[in-house]
Amino acid sequence: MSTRKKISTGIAICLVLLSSIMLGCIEQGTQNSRQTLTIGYGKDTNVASPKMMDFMPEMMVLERLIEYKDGEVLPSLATSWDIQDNSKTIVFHFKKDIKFSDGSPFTAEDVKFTFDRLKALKYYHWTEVDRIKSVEVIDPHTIAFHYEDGKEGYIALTAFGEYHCSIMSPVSVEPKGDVKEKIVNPIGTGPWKVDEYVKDQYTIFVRNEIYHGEKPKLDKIIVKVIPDAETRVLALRSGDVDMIVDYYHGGSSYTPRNLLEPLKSEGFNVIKNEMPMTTIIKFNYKKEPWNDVRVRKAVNYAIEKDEVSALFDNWVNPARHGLYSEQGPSIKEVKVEAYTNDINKAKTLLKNAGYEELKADLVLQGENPDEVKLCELIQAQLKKIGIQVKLSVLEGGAYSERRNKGDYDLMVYYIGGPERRSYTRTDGRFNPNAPEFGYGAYDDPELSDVLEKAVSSFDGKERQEEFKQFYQLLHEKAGVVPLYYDAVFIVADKKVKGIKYVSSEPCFSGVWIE
Amino acid sequence: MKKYITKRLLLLIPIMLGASVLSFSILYIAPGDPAELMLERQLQGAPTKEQIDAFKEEHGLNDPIPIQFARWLYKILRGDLGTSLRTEEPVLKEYLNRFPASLVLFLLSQIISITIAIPLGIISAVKHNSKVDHFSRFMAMFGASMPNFWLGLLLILFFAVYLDWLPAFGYGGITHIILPAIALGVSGCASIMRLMRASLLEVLHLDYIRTARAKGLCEKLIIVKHALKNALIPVVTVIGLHISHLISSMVIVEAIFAWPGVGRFLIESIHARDFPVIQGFVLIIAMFFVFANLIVDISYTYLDPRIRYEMERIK
Amino acid sequence: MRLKIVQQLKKDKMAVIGVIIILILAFLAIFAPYLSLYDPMEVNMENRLLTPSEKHPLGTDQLGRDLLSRIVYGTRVSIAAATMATLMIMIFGVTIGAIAGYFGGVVDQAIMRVVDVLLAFPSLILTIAIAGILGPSLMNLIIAMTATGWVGYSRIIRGSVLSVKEKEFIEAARAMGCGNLYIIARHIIPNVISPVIVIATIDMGHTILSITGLSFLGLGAQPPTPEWGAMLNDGKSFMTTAPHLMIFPGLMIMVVVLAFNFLGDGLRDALDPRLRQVMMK
Repeated sequence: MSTRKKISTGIAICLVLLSSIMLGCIEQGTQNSRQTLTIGYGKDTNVASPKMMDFMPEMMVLERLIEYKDGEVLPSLATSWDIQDNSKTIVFHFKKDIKFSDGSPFTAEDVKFTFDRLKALKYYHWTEVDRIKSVEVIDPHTIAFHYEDGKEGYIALTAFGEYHCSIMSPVSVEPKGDVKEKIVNPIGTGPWKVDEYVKDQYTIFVRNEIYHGEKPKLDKIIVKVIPDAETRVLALRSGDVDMIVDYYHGGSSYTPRNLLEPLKSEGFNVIKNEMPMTTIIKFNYKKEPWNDVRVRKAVNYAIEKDEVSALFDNWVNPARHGLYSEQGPSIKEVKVEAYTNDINKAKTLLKNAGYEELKADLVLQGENPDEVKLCELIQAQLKKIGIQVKLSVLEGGAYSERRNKGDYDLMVYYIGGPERRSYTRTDGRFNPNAPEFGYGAYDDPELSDVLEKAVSSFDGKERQEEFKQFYQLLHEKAGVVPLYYDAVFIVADKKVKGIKYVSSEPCFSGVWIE
Repeated sequence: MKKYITKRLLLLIPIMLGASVLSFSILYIAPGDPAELMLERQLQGAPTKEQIDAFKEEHGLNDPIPIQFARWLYKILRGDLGTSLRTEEPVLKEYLNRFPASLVLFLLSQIISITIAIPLGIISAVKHNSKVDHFSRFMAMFGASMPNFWLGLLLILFFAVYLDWLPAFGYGGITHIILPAIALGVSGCASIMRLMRASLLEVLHLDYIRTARAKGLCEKLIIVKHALKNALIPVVTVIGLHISHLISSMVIVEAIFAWPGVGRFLIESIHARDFPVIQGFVLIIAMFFVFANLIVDISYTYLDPRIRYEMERIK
Repeated sequence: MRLKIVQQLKKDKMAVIGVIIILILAFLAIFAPYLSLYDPMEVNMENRLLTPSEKHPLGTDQLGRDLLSRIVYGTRVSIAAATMATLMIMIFGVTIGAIAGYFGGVVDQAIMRVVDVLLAFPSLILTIAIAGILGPSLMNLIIAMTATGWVGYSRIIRGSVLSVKEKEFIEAARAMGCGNLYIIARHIIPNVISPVIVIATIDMGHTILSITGLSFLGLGAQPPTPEWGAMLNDGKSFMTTAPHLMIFPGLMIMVVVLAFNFLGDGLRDALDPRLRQVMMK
């Protein structure tokens, strides 16, 4: 053997060894003890974060002052609250003897820290937190929020149920208590605590043994990050994970709807949770011809909503009762009208408005393949009434530029969100005075007037009445085209029991493995 | 030899400078306001005008472009490639976190390419114009024409979904790397195999091989001992050229197999318009590529006495 | 020289097969409207995700569109895009290379330094970055491919121009007072273009792979355009439930690329050694 050959053989052997060593290092043993649940999730839990965590750990590790569930504000860390000073001040009274998972007592100072941090980081977009003038600790179990003039009322109260208003101990950040600093290890009062975290790979949660409520049955939850939806499904099939969970927060990542039926027939448990979140078509309603209510109505009549839900194998419901599904504010109580497919009516309306043919630029983001297919379907449906739709599938930056410049005709958009957000989101989409309105869906002075009253009143009956008017007005003005009611899904192995959704979020406390 | 290497290294300086200008300018060909988009991702909602302004201020996006470039370059020279807007981690750290995964995949697919291609090339050349030759040439052509993203999907479909033999995605044990490495390795086979065959054929017609044959040496011995050594030399260059192709293919293959490597992170960052990451990664990949080529060139000159001689004569 | 290549090619069975396939595909592309049974864009939600049958020989996709018709139309898109990209790359590469070679000096130095820098990048990585940042569309993809692809041609042309430029007929043209541009366009480029055309043909397979690959990543053709890479991307979510959606478009890509590679290989073998040398550089 020549020297050169020896060298090359040597190199080859080294390469093989090197690669097997590297593989050895990255192999992570995951021994499933009996009460461990492994979840496949589309993104990192972000538990060590400069600003905010993902909603999943927020829901598991932290708690909020109140919860907003089934259309009602419910006590959580706060047992009661008073609205004072012409609803410019909200005072919360806390439960006593609650401890953080590290054993330290929960007090009003921790609440103050949480909100001071939100303000310091300017992390309060689209909620009413930015209108908080000051936070006043009255005693260790009482805190007062003082609001600036203007927007206060019921909507401000519901905002305390928002994810990012979850209460965190000051030791969660480093240096401790510094309101501008990174979260290093979130310490909360919730049923779980973070045990181990490897960014973009996995997070291990363990039961908080000193939780003040009913303790979870599981010992441990491993959340594995699998960004690609199809790979998540494959992971479930191969038993790598016990459960895959959709999220809709900060972008969305869903189990492909067309795989739900096959998964169900393979024996997996498919759990659906419909939300007060509706996918809509948004008009460029200030621009011709979309400023004409007849044209907007024509589009509403042109859409065949059953075909839309057929696109998702009927796993989502078509928007048959208007803006929101039953989880939306006051929807259960009031009857809301909706448009049904009628090509002739649509054509007549369009003709009356003076258009035989129309061209429309439908702008969409290409990230979500379902949305792309939806737009192709809309394109085909609108063609039937003589509207030629051009699809512009844009990448994030170009998309927001077109949106901001108002350089589009139609856009697929969504309103609402998780239930706890339904007030702020509705306000943000339809009221130009709302902080979020830069991304509104439709506005009209009459409409925003009604809405402003609807979200402010502390009186349930009054709210219901105002919302009824709001929905009716929106229908008359055909402000948007509601397409379908969004839902999130959990697909789990049969052996996983006790899965349920509380409000719009999955709750793992009652889960056990058979 | 030393002079040659020094010269090559010096030549790298202007190239690296040019490469950094190019990487930097990526930010400025983009439509839309990167600050706004990044904020929207970060905040999971719409940023306000003040937030956008504060962000621009914080990241120095309001300064004139040459100043931004100078600052960027200065930082890079000190090993600071900036911070990912998406993860808020240093870009270099993000790269290094993902590099091992990509390297393992790179090496393994390269090994697969070579172990399939070289024996096939030798057989093809030795049994020139036989059925075996035709068949392996056809297979090589087939491999070169197979889109690796399609091959990847087919591999998942058969080995992971239907047969359930191997995991379809992700990062973990040895089994996880097999499918992506095959998807990546196959397309590389063709060019290596073809060159191996061609260069061995050429060598087999040279005088000294004829002499060896005339001397009555056994054919196997001739091939192994005399011909192969020389025929392998051009193959080394092709493996070098192949690196460019391989790095590019890795982006696609990593995306399909959810392989947590550099390529997938780059694609995610492109979709998220995480400019510091795009700029930094493109630059590092270019650097890696330049050095890989340099090493191939140097080993080539080292391996091939003819070139060494040429070089000495030029001096 | 051209005749010789054609004669050589005729002897090469694989090259002939390649040419036949390409001709068939060109026929499909041109007569797509007459050859497909359905409108490739026609949505029919009642017929979604059908498996291949008599009515729909290759089945239907998730919007009930006929897959065969989409694939036939896809031939148009893919071949047109690849040809367009190749042409743009050629035009840019040849022009820039000719300018560098003809003028020499500082111009040449400057251009060649840019070439060196671009060659220092794995080209597809840069293409992906540029295409992604410009925003996904087939046109932007072609622009990105042109921005990174011209360098190879420039190098070859520059070399050829350098060898042609001192020839007598150029001197004669210059003596007659012809302008630089005229000389480049009229005398130099026609003389050095053949290797470029050959190389472009050889590269065609690779170009198609890049376009479909980037479209697969969502950086190229956009819906509802029936482009094979984008169709494959659509189909991948139906891998388990409707595998035909991902098998047929992939197969088409492979057949086209294979045909161009057969032809390219034949061309390579048929080339005279001089040309081969040019290419090796």
